[in-house]
Amino acid sequence: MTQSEPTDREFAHLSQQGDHGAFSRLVRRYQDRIYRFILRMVGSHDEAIELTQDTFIKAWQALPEWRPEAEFRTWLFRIASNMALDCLRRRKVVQFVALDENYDVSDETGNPETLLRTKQRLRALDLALGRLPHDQREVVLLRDVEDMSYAEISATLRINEGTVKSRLARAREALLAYRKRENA
Amino acid sequence: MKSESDCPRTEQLSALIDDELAAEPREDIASHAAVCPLCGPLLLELTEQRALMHSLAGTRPGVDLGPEIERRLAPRPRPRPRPAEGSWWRGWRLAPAGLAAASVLATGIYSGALLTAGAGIAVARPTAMAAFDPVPPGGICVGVPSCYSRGR
Repeated sequence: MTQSEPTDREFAHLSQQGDHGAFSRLVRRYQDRIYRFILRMVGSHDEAIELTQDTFIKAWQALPEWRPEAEFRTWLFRIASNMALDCLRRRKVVQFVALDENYDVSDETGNPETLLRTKQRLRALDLALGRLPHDQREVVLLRDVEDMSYAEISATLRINEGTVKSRLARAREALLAYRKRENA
Repeated sequence: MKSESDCPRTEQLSALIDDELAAEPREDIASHAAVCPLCGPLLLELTEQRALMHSLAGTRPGVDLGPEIERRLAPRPRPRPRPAEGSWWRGWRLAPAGLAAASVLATGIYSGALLTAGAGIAVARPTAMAAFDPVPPGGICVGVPSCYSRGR
């Protein structure tokens, strides 16, 4: 008989009581997701690494105020979103963020030609994402990359679901337009 | 022939691919897109783009951030366990301290009364009892032999 993995809520509750081990499990569960979200918000691998660490440190400090009614994942992404936005504000570059040139966007395997084509498409997509306003970019990332529902995005960003729906549609339209322009 | 104004907004098509529409509008929009030369291709593009976006989920930092984060965590003081409110034992535990406080208070009041009222207290003694005093009537002290008549 196998024991089921503890839920986020259980780990978060233990972390609230000062359990470093439980918090480390949450870090390992979410570090990739937080990193890739922040990476595409700020466009720099080094800054994304630093901000991911800061997000978890901030979460640790704020955990005593966390209430079990709030889903841990949305609560954590809210912190990450604020971290990314603060970083963009400090840089005074909120509109356009391009990924580092030397950053490898995919770890897919396949024949070299397919791999190259996939990389090119993903790089073009990343470039188009970087041109989106940050509020549209974060909505489309949370929906299409992190698979959050409209209700979860609404809770994460503290905006209503109608705004999520319209912002997401605008983001997708803009992305299509940028990509078509790039291909033309 | 249908015009472009009959088409649902992109917002509805976008919500359709996310399965975030109620049953009725979902069926209406899906059946419209199936025949519309404008909405059909747009729906396909949105769906393809969403799949491409999803492939970005493979991005990883390439390093485990756990040890560095754990090193930076400040220790959090554990809350001390408290006994249940209204426990009968809690009251009894205070008894020794209460008794000590009461005895200190009583001693203080007694000493205070002696100091303030002691000078004014005169013990009335009957004159007949003076014969039993260690100092004879008219004597000054007990121990000095010159004070006594020695039976002469």
